[in-house]
Amino acid sequence: MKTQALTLGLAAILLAAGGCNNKASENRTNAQTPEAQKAAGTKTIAAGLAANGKFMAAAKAAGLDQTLAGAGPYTVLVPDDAAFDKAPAGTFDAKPENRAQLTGILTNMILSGTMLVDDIDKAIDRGKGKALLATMGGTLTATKDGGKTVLTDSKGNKATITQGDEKYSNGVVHHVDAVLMPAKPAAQPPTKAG
Amino acid sequence: MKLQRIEQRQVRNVEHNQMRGNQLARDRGQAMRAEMKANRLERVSTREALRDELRTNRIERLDNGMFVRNANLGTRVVRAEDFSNRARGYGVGGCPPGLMDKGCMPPGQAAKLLGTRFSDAERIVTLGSVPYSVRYLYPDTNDFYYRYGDGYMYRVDRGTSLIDALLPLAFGGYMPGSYFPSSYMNSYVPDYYGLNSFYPASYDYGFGSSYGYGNTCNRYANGVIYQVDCMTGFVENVIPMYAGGYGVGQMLPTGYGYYNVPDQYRSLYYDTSDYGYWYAPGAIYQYDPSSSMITSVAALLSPGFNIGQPLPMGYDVYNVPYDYRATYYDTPSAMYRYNNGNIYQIDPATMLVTAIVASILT
Repeated sequence: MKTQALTLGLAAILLAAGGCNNKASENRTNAQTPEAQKAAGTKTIAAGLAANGKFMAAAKAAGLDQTLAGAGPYTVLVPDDAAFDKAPAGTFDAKPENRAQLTGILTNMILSGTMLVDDIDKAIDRGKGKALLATMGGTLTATKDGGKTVLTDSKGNKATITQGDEKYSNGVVHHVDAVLMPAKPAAQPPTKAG
Repeated sequence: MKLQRIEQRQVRNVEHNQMRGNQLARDRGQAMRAEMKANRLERVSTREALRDELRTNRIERLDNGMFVRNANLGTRVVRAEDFSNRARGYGVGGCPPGLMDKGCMPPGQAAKLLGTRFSDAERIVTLGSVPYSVRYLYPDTNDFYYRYGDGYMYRVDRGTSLIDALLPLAFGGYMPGSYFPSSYMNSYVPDYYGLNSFYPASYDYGFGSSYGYGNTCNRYANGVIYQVDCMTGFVENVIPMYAGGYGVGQMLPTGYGYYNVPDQYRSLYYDTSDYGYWYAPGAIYQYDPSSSMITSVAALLSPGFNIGQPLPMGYDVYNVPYDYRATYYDTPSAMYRYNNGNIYQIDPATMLVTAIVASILT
């Protein structure tokens, strides 16, 4: 009898804990104010990108999933999953200690405003072959190569826009075939104070 | 004879015209010089005004920080007071080295907890469960779980019950009232999208050399800009940046217990009972009021434009949102660029930002 009561008690505790976890996940999905949701529109970048894709997984680990569901507008360069696989091992690890690096890489692929591929191409023409794009974490250079628009980071990594102008209520997505890196890896917190 | 006179008159006319031209050029030169002087004076007064504004803001921020720490008003203050009764991390409570005996825990001491048994550590510091809103960032696994307290996240090995990792929840650990290590004094603000021009090495004439007004210098370490006394390294203000790695799962410093979201975003991001919002260069953060932990990034922001400044590097591409493209499109006499909720007009001849023509969020 005593064992039964203990088991029931334990089950109740587990149920309560489960309930709390559900509440937590509810909070995560409905975290924005109604005004922010209205400003973002119905089909946001966060909703449009594959939820199980590697880009959204990395965005969630850096707290950027809510950003891409927000008002924006943003222009987002999304490397395909194969490009993520080509990056050095551990680059997109979601571990807390890797979050600073992850944040630096993702913000280097998000730009302010709505830039269509045609806008980038026109700027390249005006700039006699190249245009500079300020990202949220650095600068990229845009050029044309064989009729395709190519973006180069400060380390010389190149990414070609394979599928551009995927329009959403809060911006536009261009799919690219490589990961673009920031100027230098985001510094880790110091292990000791000087 | 008559022909000679005509020739002489023509020569005189040419000379006269030349002199007149020179005179006009001189007049133009004088006007230009006067204009340049006026511009220079304007720039100087603008810079002085900017400096005064920055200084006022800084003083206000410091005052606010002190006020929040001292006044015991509002939920965030209550939270801060709750923390004040416990041992705190060096980077969280603004605890200077001299006050270590009053309950602050410097990073060196926190590091000593690495490898100790969790139950032993609990006797030294108060540790709590990770709040639900950020639990997804510190997920428990079969191998380990997390507890937080004193400005650190502690990872505990389930097999041995030893603390096997220590993650600082505040940014680097140098808060107003502490001293910036001299080894970092040569570390300047990075040039990501012009941040170093917003936070120059110093605020002296020309924004270049070492010592500025009020002896304030901007320095950078681990994703955070520090406004420090140029001579002593005394930290006057701390400005974390998202792109530098300061982000979700970390804590807001108690000194920032006030709402500071930029005007154009206030109708979208306002404090509620579940979430608070806080701005720092690069982002508007959403945080959990009960723990002060950052739960997500509500919006990414770039440094912004000021009217009259040259268009910063990196804005070559037209980026106006769809709904505004029919009204604001580039022409030979005007260019338009979007930035942080506003559409700006740029003069293509001078490449100066001339006006805000639309605010799309208000």
